[in-house]
Parts: sequence; C-alpha cells; structure tokens
Amino acid sequence: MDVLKEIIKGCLQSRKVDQYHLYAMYSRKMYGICLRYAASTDEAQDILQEGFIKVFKHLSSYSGKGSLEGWIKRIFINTAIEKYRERIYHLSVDEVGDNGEFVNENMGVEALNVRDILTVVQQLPVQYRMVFNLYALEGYSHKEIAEALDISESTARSNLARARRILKHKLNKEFEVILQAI
Amino acid sequence: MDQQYIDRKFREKLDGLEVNPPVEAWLSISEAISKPSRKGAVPVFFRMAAAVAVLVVSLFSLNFLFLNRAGQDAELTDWSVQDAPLYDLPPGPGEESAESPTITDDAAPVTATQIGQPSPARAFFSDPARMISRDNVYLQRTALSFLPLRDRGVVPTGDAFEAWNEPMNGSTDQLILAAETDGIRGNNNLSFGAHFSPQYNYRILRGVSDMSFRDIPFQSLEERIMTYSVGLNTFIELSPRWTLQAGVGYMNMGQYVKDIASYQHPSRLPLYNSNTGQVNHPQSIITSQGNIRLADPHLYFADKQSYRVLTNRHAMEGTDVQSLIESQEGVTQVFRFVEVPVVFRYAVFNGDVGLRLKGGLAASYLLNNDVFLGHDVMQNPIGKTTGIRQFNFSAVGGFAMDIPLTGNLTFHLEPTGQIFISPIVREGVMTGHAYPYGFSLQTGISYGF
Repeated sequence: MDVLKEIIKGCLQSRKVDQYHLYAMYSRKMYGICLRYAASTDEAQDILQEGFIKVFKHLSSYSGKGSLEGWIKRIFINTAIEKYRERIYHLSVDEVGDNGEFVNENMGVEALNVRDILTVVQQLPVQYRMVFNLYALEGYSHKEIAEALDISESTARSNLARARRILKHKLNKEFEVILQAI
Repeated sequence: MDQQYIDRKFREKLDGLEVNPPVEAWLSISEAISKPSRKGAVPVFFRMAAAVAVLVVSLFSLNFLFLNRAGQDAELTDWSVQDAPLYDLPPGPGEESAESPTITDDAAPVTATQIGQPSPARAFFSDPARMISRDNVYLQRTALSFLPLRDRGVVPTGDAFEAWNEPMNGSTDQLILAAETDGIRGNNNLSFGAHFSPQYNYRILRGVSDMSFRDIPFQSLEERIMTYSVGLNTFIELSPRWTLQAGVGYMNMGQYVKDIASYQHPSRLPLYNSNTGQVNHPQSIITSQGNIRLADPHLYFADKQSYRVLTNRHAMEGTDVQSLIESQEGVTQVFRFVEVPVVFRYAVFNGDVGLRLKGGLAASYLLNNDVFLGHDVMQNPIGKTTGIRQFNFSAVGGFAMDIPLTGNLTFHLEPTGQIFISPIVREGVMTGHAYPYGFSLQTGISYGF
C-alpha cells in the first residue's frame, strides 16, 4: 500500500518512472475493458490512451479512499461512453435477424475461448455493445444506462434483449465452426 | 433459455480480462502527458529553419556589403589603406624619393581610429594584418583615388594625382604576387559543391534508463554499421580565414542488433493472418534506438541473449514454433534523414592546399526508417522502428583539405565527426537516451564563382 502511495505521489509530481509503474500496474486490465467496449484494437487503443491521460490528469482528485483500481476503471468506462457519444450513429436494427437456431445453448459459451467471446462482443452493433457491457458486466441498472447513453429506459431494455439475441446467434455459428473443425 | 445465463457466462469469461496493450501504447500516453499542448505554437524545426535562413542571409549580406562594395565605401577604403604597409607608393611629381608619400607618412592621420572603425563583424572575421587578396588589392588601389583621402592631403590632386597614380596600375600584378607568396591565397566569394561520404556510425547511450527496461545490456548487443551520406553545399567566404558552409544533405544512420534469431516455415508460408490487408505481426523488438515493429508475416523472432523480443502470446495462439527453421540472425535498423547543416570553416593554412577547421550545427528531419533482416540492407524491409524523433539536431566538426584542381574547381577531402545533441529516441520510450554519432570521410568537389 505504501508503494502505491509513493507511486501516486510520484505521478502527482509528474515523475516518469512512477507514471510508467502506474501504467504497468493497470494497463492490462484496462486494455481488457477497452477491448470489450471497442469494435477494434485501434479503437481500444484510443480509449486506453485517452483513459490514462485522464487518469494522470485527474489523479489529484483521487481521495485515497476506496480502491484505486475501481476509480481508474470508472474513468475508463466513462471514457468508453464518451467515445460512444462522439460517434453515435443510427443503427439499422432491422438488418439483424432473429433466425438463430441454437444447437446446444449450454455448450456454446463454454466451448469458446476468451478471444472468440471477445470477438463476438466486438461484433455487436455499437449501441447494443454499450448496453450489454454496462448491464451484464458492469452491473448498471437500465435507468443508469439510459442516463449514460442518453436513451430511454425502454430503449435500453430493448437493446439489451437484441444484444442477447445476436450473441446467441453468433455463438451458435461460432460453435458450429468448432464442431466442424473437430 | 435463461436470459441471465448468457450474461453470467460472458461475465465469467470477460470480467477481469487482462490483455497486454501494444508496446507503443505507453509511448503515446507518455508523450501526451509530458507535453503541455501549445496550440498555434510554431514547430521547433521551422523555428530553427527560420533562424538558419536569417543567419545565412545576414552573413551573405554582410559579405556582399563589406567585400563587393568596398570601393564605394569611404570608411572601408580608409581602413584598408591604414592596414596596408606592404608596399610603398611611387613618388608623386615634384616629390623626392626620400620623401615619398607612402601611405604610412602622410597617411598617418588616416587611421581606422580617426576615420572610422571597421565594423565588429568585419573585425571579427578578418585578420587585418594579413588582409591581402585580390579583393584587398582592389581595395587598396581604389583607396588612393577616393576623394576624402585627397581632401585630407593623403594623395596629390589634379594632374599631379593622375601622374602619381599612373605607376600604381602597373604594380598590381606585383601586389597580387606579393599577396599570394605571403601564404594567403585568394578565394572565391561564393562556391557550390557536392559531397559523398562513407560513414561509420553508432550511438552513445546515456541514462539507460530512467525506465531501466529489464536491465537489457544494449551496449553489448548492438553494433556499429557503415552507411553513407550525400549533400549539396554552398560556401560563402566571409573573409580569407572564415567561410560559411550551408546546404542540404541526405544522411543514413543506424545500427545492427545482434543475437536475434529469426525462424520461418520450411515452405515459407505466412505465420500470421493479415487483418484488412495489414499484417498483424505479434512481435516487437526493443532496441536502444526505439522499438522495432515487425511486419513480415513469414518470420518469428527469438532473443538469444536477453529479453528484447516482446511477443503477444494472445496473437501467437495456433503458431507451431517447433516446426519452424532458423533463418538469418540479427536485424539492421536504418534511419534516413534530410539535414540542413550550417558550418563555419576557419583556414588554418591557405596555401596551394588549404587546411581548414570546421564546426557547426545541423538540423535533421527523419524521412523514413526501415528494419532489415541480417546485415543486408538491400533486401525487402521486415519492419519499422517506432519511437524515433522526427526532428533532431547534431553538432558537426572536423578538418577540411581543399585541393585546387583546374580552373575554379576545388577538391575537398574532409574527415568529419557528427553527434546528435538531442536524443534520437522520443521521450517516453523505455530504453533511455541514445545519441547517434558518425565518423565520415567527406569527399567532394566545389566550383567557385
């Protein structure tokens, strides 16, 4: 804990070594979050960069109470939301069909590795991906999601349902590929 | 199906997911947080270029004013007369030889102190006691016919002056001869030239590093290489001793990174997929001069001595390393710069073969860089180095031998040293500060006007 305090103190004094140590401590986890919210690695790197710039810029506002990781994670999620707002566009939701036949609904997720799961999430339309991440992985309520993304609660619910349906469909296809490979 | 099932499974798989970000991610972040944004600020390179341009134009203007307009400038002509004790003027009509009106007799009042001091710039660049050249002879002669001197009684006036001045014309050749045999050879005011330089180059490492990345012994794992540079130069003679050299050059620098093994498929098959036409090579190599971002999908690398090869294990899934065969060893980094040198040259000896000391600064702009497999820089590049500064500054120094050829041509042979005064690696790159240097033998030809 003392080490972390020293690192934070060094960061506040703009010491390069401490800034790098802080980055090294949290960059892997935060990049994992960025990849979940982004559609590509380039976009994830943008969020990572912007997020860490904000962390170093606003580190003085971290009170020391509560987990630093939680504080940093919140910054990254907010950065991802900001990015989403910057490039929000209308979705042609109708293009997403509901014709997925789940071969074995309980095996699909189990059989896929993290990389495939991540790819499936990244392929979600941007608004669905945001809603799914905030609801299923961050634990936001529909009301909080609606406020964060500037949409109605009913839209948030609808987006979540459609995101789940697309994920099922995609997992089904991925799982079929695996079965064929076997 | 339970709607919550899929949420729970995704949460189990993705919550707490950790992935190594790309090596260059920290570089971008570090740069962004270390430099306060200055909107509208003029880039350093352009400020330096403007300063150099002003310097060159100013010096050229001074040179033009002091040397070419001397015959019309009373102060300058007086100054040259005052410093011309090398010959006696012929006696004027009606004057006895013993009382010849040498410059030093009646001209005694005509001194720089009394009529006008030479400008500080002229005084700095010139050595008045040896101010003998074709130009200077011209100065001395014109001085004698200039009105203010006659008014002061330095020289006869009217018909007496014409008669007195006549023999002077005939002595010009002797004066030039005297000047040249004095050891100072006349020079052209303006010359243009081109050079080619084989160059041995390497780098000095300082502060390796404030990041101390994995304690990698870069010093023993990297070697010098031979490169070359070419350039065009302008030489502006400021005085018989001082010459300003400016121009533009194309310079190669770099290093060989050894003990890096490379492997490829026996059938030369690509090892990694391409993503939207761009190869997503999962490896980087850390060097003291930036990080190498690899791009050849046929190669897999391993470090034989240290931990310089970074591999994204996530992206390496599915690659059977055991089935690969070893290829060439080591990689060569090459950086290509266009540079603008501004160099002063001081004539130590100005005889038939001139010997000069030279020193100055050069601004360099990184055009591009490539990384090659092994030592062969003629083959296709396998990647690029990231983290290299776009603008760099270096100090230049050395000797210059000027060997006159036929006509106005001069051959130059110049052992030259050059060292970067700004670290070539951008701030934030983990491997510390590298200052490249090079030794070259510049060979070139110039033509004087």
